[in-house]
Amino acid sequence: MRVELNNELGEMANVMTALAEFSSGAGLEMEAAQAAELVLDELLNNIITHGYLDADQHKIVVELCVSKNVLQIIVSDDGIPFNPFEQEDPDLESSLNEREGGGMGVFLVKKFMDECSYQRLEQRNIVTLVKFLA
Amino acid sequence: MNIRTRNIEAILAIDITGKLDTQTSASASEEVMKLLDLNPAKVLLSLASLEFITSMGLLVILRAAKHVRAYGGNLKVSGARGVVKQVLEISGFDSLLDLYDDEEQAVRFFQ
Repeated sequence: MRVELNNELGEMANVMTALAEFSSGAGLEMEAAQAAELVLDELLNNIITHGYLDADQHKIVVELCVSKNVLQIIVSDDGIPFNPFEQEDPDLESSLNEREGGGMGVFLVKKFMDECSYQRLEQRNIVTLVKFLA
Repeated sequence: MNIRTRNIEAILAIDITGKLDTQTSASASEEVMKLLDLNPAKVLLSLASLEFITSMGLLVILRAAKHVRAYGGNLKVSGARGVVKQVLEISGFDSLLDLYDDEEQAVRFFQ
């Protein structure tokens, strides 16, 4: 599956529709399909909300493939250079009033995937995620 | 995403159905906060019919819980299952909030 979207939150719905079709076509278990939906929601939201300093239209590319019991997800964007996996994990011990929710998205991505990597290549951020399927 | 309310004795139960993600969380938060406008003393967020949640959905719960605590009310969360329960636990919400597997149990623990 390969889907392109513009940097608008409203376009994420198209990605999720394509993902649902891909998941059922590839015979993904619900757990893996939900994990894919979760990480795409988190990453795309972050890119669209924080990734651009201008007001121009930008293309974000999402690719998914399943082979040999491995689900691979690649998300690339031409936003400001940003490695999400260098962020500090949120403080889970903090009290209710101290909780802001910042950094929780990337933390969830790391927990729901088995491998997460980042590259900056040809002016693009490229995040590659791997989940091993049972 | 759909939000409905029920009254269980003196408890305001808020049922959130469907998904809490980027597409739905802003309007869900607005609806939930409106329901909390009158500062109900006992609030039960029922997630038994919630199928999916992301960090945006966690913020809906966090905002509601902070609001209720600020006016001295009591908020409990019940019925989370599957990926919703997993996300709540990974995020440490199980130690931050009163989570109950089933609604009856939550109702019993309201004083």
